[in-house]
Amino acid sequence: MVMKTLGSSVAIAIWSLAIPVFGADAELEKLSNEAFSILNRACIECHGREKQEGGLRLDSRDAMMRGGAGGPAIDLGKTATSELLRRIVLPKDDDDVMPQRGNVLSASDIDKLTQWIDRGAPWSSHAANQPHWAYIVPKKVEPPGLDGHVFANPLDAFVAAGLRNAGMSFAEVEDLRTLCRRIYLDVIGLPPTVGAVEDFRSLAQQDLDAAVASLVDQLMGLPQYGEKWARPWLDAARYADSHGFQRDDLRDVWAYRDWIIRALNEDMPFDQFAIEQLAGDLLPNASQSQLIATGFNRCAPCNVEAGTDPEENRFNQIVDRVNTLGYVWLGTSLECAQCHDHKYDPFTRKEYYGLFAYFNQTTIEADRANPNVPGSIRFIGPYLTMKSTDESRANELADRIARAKRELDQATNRLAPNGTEPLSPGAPAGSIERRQLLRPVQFESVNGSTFKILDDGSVLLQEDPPDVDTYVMVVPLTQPNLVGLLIETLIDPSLPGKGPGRGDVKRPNFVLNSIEVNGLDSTGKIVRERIGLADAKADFSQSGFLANNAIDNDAKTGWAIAPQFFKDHWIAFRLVDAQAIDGIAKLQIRLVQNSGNARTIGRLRLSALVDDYAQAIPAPVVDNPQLARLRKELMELEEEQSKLQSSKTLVMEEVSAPRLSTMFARGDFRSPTDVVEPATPAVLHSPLSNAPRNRLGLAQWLVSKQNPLVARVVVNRMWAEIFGNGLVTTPEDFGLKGDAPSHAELLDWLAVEFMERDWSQKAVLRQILTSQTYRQSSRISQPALALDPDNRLLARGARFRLPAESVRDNALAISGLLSLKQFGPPIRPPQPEGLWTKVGGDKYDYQVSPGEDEFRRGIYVVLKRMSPYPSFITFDSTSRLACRVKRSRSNTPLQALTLLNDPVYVRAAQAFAGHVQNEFPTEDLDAQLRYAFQTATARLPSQREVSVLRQLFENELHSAISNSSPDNIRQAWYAVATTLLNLDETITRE
Amino acid sequence: MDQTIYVPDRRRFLQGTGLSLGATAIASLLSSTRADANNPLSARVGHFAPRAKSVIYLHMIGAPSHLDLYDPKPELIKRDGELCPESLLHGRRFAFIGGQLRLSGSQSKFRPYGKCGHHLASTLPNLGTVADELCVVHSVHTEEINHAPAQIFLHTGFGRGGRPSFGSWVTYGLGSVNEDLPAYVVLLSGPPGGAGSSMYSSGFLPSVHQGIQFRSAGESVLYLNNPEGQTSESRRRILDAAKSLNQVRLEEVGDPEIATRISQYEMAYRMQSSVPELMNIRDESAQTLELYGATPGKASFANNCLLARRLVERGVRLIELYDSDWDHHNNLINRIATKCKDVDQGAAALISDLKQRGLLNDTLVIWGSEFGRTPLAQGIDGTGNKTAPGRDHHKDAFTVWLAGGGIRGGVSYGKTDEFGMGIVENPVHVHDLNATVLHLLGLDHQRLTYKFQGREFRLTDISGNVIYDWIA
Repeated sequence: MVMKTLGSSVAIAIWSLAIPVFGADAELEKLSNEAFSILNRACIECHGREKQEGGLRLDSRDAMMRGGAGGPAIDLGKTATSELLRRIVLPKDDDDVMPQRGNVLSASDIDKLTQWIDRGAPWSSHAANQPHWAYIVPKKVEPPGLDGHVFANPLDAFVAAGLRNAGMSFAEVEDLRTLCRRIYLDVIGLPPTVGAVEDFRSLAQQDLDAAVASLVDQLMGLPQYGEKWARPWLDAARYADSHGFQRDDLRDVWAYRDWIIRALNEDMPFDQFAIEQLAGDLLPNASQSQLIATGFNRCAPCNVEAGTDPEENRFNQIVDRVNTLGYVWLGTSLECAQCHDHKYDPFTRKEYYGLFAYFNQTTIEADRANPNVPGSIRFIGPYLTMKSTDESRANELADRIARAKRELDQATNRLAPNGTEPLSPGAPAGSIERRQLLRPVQFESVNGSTFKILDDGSVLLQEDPPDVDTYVMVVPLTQPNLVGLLIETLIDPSLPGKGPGRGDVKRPNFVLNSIEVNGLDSTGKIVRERIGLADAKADFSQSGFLANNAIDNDAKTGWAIAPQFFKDHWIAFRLVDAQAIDGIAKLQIRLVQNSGNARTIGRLRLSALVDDYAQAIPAPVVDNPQLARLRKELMELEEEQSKLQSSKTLVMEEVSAPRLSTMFARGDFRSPTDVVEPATPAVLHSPLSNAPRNRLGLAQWLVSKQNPLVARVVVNRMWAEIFGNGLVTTPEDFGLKGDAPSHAELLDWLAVEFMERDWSQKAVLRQILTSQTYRQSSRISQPALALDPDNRLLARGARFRLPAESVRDNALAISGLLSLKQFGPPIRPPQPEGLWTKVGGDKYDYQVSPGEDEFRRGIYVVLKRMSPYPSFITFDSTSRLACRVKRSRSNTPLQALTLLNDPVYVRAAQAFAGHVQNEFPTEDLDAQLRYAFQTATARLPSQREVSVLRQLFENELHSAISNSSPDNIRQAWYAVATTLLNLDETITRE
Repeated sequence: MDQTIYVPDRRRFLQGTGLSLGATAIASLLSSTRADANNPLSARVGHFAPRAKSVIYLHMIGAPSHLDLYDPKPELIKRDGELCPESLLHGRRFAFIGGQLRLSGSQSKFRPYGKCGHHLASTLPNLGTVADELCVVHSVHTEEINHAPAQIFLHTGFGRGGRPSFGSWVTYGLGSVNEDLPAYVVLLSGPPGGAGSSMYSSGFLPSVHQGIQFRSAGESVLYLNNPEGQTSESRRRILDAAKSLNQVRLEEVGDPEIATRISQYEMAYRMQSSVPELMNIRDESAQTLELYGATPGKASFANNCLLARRLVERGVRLIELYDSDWDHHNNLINRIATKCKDVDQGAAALISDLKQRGLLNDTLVIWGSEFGRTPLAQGIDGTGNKTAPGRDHHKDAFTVWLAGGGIRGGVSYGKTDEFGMGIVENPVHVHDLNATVLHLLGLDHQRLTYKFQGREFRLTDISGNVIYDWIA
């Protein structure tokens, strides 16, 4: 049936039944589809099934004609006066403008809607009933031919067709040196050396295709490939090295970051890559690597602030996991459906909690140490203790530790030949028979620290220390002739810096503010309060924190041990009246430590002193400098050994007794409603029949080839990483309100290709990087800027600022400072003092990483969520508190200040200056300047550019000489190097 | 190294003319960047005429007790120590306290101030002198009961991280009228809040909108100062060389981003003089310093109040002052008195100084926190031992005051019940407060949106009502 004119609603009704369409009708159908898609994107949220602002619906033709409070939305006879058109052309700040929220419609959208109304607003019921494009499984279409021209790379055929329709064509090939740098930056995130640039250029001049293909392959084989491509994935995975929130303690999950780098380098098929991250722990006989991969979801922030409800935190973490799954694999914002059915995308609240149920079965990650003490919430884990990966270092350490121990023994014997003064840790000297170990029958940390009573009778405090604490110990009293007590504070490998305090690796001090001793009867009732104490002695007391301060009944004063950290100490005191304990069955000893910042004792042991106080206390130990040095060395070695042996990482762990899953009213964790089963959203492909109904089944379903979204979403993100924007410019939203793809057929072609090539990300990347589209020049002509400002048609190469990490990597590489050392715990570059101010939880002393570690790549820089590395934030990195699949790209004065003055970049400029002089020694200044310029940008400077640099050099030199600066040449080169590192071009991928 | 690589690139040379942008186009790109729609900080008009041009937000980190400063409750004092009636506790959540909860009357002394008769604690005598400027809102409530989530909620309308702060929303909506200073400045007295920099983060907005901390120790802005040994003449030469080279590249490749980069480097250069000039309060009169209780060179809330006025004078859009240590779980009466000494004079001086300089009409001053404190006693430690009494976190009612910038002074808005536990009249959700603040700045909170991850986000999420009763 062919209808040429569409003047009446009758004709429309007939047309809407017409399935086969030809010629003018095909064109009309296209227009109708486009109008439908614009209405869906811009209007339906407020004027659709769920909501009808002003009583108006725009989801059917009848409803539009009927209109709402403001009359009919469209007037077929008078397009120009149609209310819909009147409202959409208003300026953004007009009160009547539609859409009310978000951006005004583009000129092209307005034009399409105008044409559509002009032509009778045909409503294609086919379009209306057709699922949204992103929910239909992608299929490959034949790449379009172009006047018989066959493109070697099908990708170019799709782009060329789009260009032809717009009357445009491909730009010329980029300058070969710039192109070489582009390929380097895109594949490994680092710039090429001058030599590599020239090698590429001479090959490319003979055979451009072969040169590009070979360079791409060579670079994809380098270990740096995974480091570059891990960055966007880690943004999506919200990977960070701390919990977030007030108690922003560091935690170990860096092995997951390393896993990503390795998996990308190995080109692990994306389906496996996804399954291991979401559910590696549920795979049969899961390997260590598969467990590490589950760190993906352990990257969710965790709120351990005192007073937090552990269940609320657990709930929030699951919400985070569901939302992240939506963005990363489905390109869909699910979070609205936490509280209500999604307003425009086809996801219900019930489906949200169906996904929630999959994640509801893992062990709790933060809980109260003492259920009755709300302040006692602490991070639990669960951690996986990893098998050591560096065996040679482990052997070396074992040898060195054995040697250090031998030396320590020898030195000790030399100093104490008769054994009268045993200097080995743990046992104070003195008259041993007058001291008797008191093993506690009860121990409590008032603020809920967990603890362990060791075989030697000492108590070891564990997990996160609270800021302040009071220990309450009860010991049976069997010594009739007790005259006093002795408390040893002991070091332990599990304590920060080995202790004996708990608060700080560098200064593990404690302040014992008061010691109270109470007498209990056999039932545990206090029968004698505050037994009098006197004559406190200690092996060592910090200035101003004397032993007697602990028994003076003044909680503001106390005994402490700075700077004698990392070793055992003791304090002893006498009972004022020995009769005070007559008839007492047990002693209760309260050790109040309220200094704050976890200046509390990490391990302690109690002994009774009998018969004669003066003779029972040990002689104060006089520390020998040689012994101190040996002990310190031994401790450092043991510390490294324990790190190596017990590297740990956060993993997912399923609970043994499954939890009941429900929906929650208003998304509030305290309001569970109907029970739900794990289930996947109905609008997408059906559940796999043979998959388990757990996270593993969910993961398998996500990467099923029937999933219409996942391959498109992933190739689109790869595209965005290379072209600065995706084919869909909303990589997080493929739903009704997301942007339509600029090249829908190309997106689908790449998505199918991705799956057909066994989910190889490198294959997709190679396809893109070897295209003609990719190698176009990024110069922007004024007509092109006016015609296609965002370069959606791809008539030129992309040009955009490097991401934060690459800005730093690039500067370090240019200056020759960059270390390519891979993997392991995060590193700390220089940053201004005072940024890691403690708010809650552990206090950290920010120490710049030693040696080359300071200069390792940005992917390894520590990310403390509440105080992220400022120079990265300035360049649009985020604190990774939530999943992000797209970074903003801003251009600010703080970026300028950072590149000019941050010591990292100052150092880079100095090194770059030295590098040029060393690597390119010549009398020819211009040649040196050209070399420096090319090192920074890969291309050769024009004569004009060289003369700018030469003038700068000469002026600096002149000024340095007139100021009698001794290093005048170096100063002049420093100015040149700073200038080059600050060029827009240097921090831009062109 | 092979010297032949320096043979000029012929193809490139030939392309130097022809298709690229002409000199006129470059000039227009360069000159228009400030007003350009591409510049996210160019000054813009809001949705309607603003009542305030700037905001000074005084945030008391840790949550001061409304019951001991602004909201006297005779009934609570009368029944001090009694068990709390069950009916009062229904549906409430507390962070720390539990079991048998006892009412805790305030030990503060209150008296009425000004013509309006606002009741303020005797620890706020200076604030009393500007009582008639204040709109005191007794009925604010929030969703979160712990510091970091509540701080993030107050600032971003959402209890977990990742969304933009209200300051970022404001600069996103209005841009900046000062080309030499950031649009959103943060000053701290004491350690930062538990939520750290996420309180003034730009979240998913471009980082140009993030709050910039001006520090009282070290460099006032990170990396503001030239590296040691570099003279300002040398720096200028470097900047001039970079500018020339950037202009050459702009002519060559025609990317407007390069023009923006050039202008941002110029702003950075201007900041190197404008920020130290701003931070130097020695040029203030002795009388002004005395008014604030400010001491040049010292880090204090009073100094920060004075700096806030100087920032407003320079057209900075949003200034937030954080003052810490208001989390009084124990020994409240003494600790709160100490804290009042820290802030009372500076806050009062800020209002009177702005007023005498004719700036108060255009400047909205807000004093508040992430939540309030319970009318129930805390001060029993985990073993049942008594400590000097304090109060737990309370999300269901707390006091915020506003002044200047279109606010009706002398107004008392909203009422809590006789115990100060719940709200009985005119509840004000944090979203309502934020909606009203945006309104005063000329922004419609429902239309100030940013599309991110598939959603049009706004500061007030999906709610918020402007409270017109506060507006003069």
